[in-house]
Amino acid sequence: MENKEIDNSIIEDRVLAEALFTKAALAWFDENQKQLDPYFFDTQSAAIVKSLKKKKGRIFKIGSYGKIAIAASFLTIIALGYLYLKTNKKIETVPLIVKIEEIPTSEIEAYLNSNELLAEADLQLIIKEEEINFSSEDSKAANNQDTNTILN
Amino acid sequence: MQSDQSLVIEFQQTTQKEGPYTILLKRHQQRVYYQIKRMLNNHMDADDVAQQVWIKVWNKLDGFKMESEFSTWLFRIAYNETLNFIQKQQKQAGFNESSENINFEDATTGTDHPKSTTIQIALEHAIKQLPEKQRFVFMLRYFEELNYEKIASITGTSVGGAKANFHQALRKMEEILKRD
Repeated sequence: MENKEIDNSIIEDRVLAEALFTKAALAWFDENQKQLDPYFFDTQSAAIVKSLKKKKGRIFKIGSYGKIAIAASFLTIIALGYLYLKTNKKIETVPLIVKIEEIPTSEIEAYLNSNELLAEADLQLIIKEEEINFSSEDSKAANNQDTNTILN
Repeated sequence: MQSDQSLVIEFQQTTQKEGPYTILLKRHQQRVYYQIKRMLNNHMDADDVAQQVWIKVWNKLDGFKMESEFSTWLFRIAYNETLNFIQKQQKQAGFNESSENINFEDATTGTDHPKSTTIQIALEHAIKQLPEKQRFVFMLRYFEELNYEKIASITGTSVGGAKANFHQALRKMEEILKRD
């Protein structure tokens, strides 16, 4: 138990309070506060320790090794995720090389038949584009000739 | 007997905290309870607040830097918890005057005590009407016989402020006695 430092000033202060209410009345007040079940403090300390144990059970404490393990597993998950995405992308980007000799003739014919109309339309489009190009090139050539003659 | 300081160090350095904690608890629990009971004058409330104090001690003791004595630190927690409790009570009751809400057990109906004298009733009445801080300081000074340095540290004031609180408490109680 801690030693109480009873100096003169404490005694003086106590005397002042006792002059007001009497020592007996102050002692009575204090005694009144101490009227307790004789086992109260045992019960109280047991209740406190019990409530702390309950709380302790609910709290999951992580030690320094635990923290390292959790950080490592997070890094592993991130690394694995990255690798997974990277390898998947590679598979997607690998070009599909099929040799034309390996395709059966019947399959080629079937494809051509089903896409005949489309192929025709494509061909027409290409021809038109080529014609436009030719005509623009002709006009350019004519223009060049004119300028040359003027210069000459 | 192990000192408080060595028990605190043991608590802070070991994983088996229950041992040193229980010694500290058993050593100081009576003083803490009595101080709170003197403030609240109600057993159930004092028990609840005292338990809260000891739970706080468990949670905060690892961070206690031993800049003051353990008992001073402990009483500071008790002071804060008691004031918090009183404030909560005031809010719940909706009273503005702090003295109104403290439900002091009736002095005249004490079971093991003979019928209270007029001066005893006047004392309880006067204590009840003190502002919380003055009441806490008065109890620490008169009943716990603490010096003003410790009281100042507990209540978060200067030594002069603590002295002033004690003497203001006396003056106020004198006024109440004269008035009633």
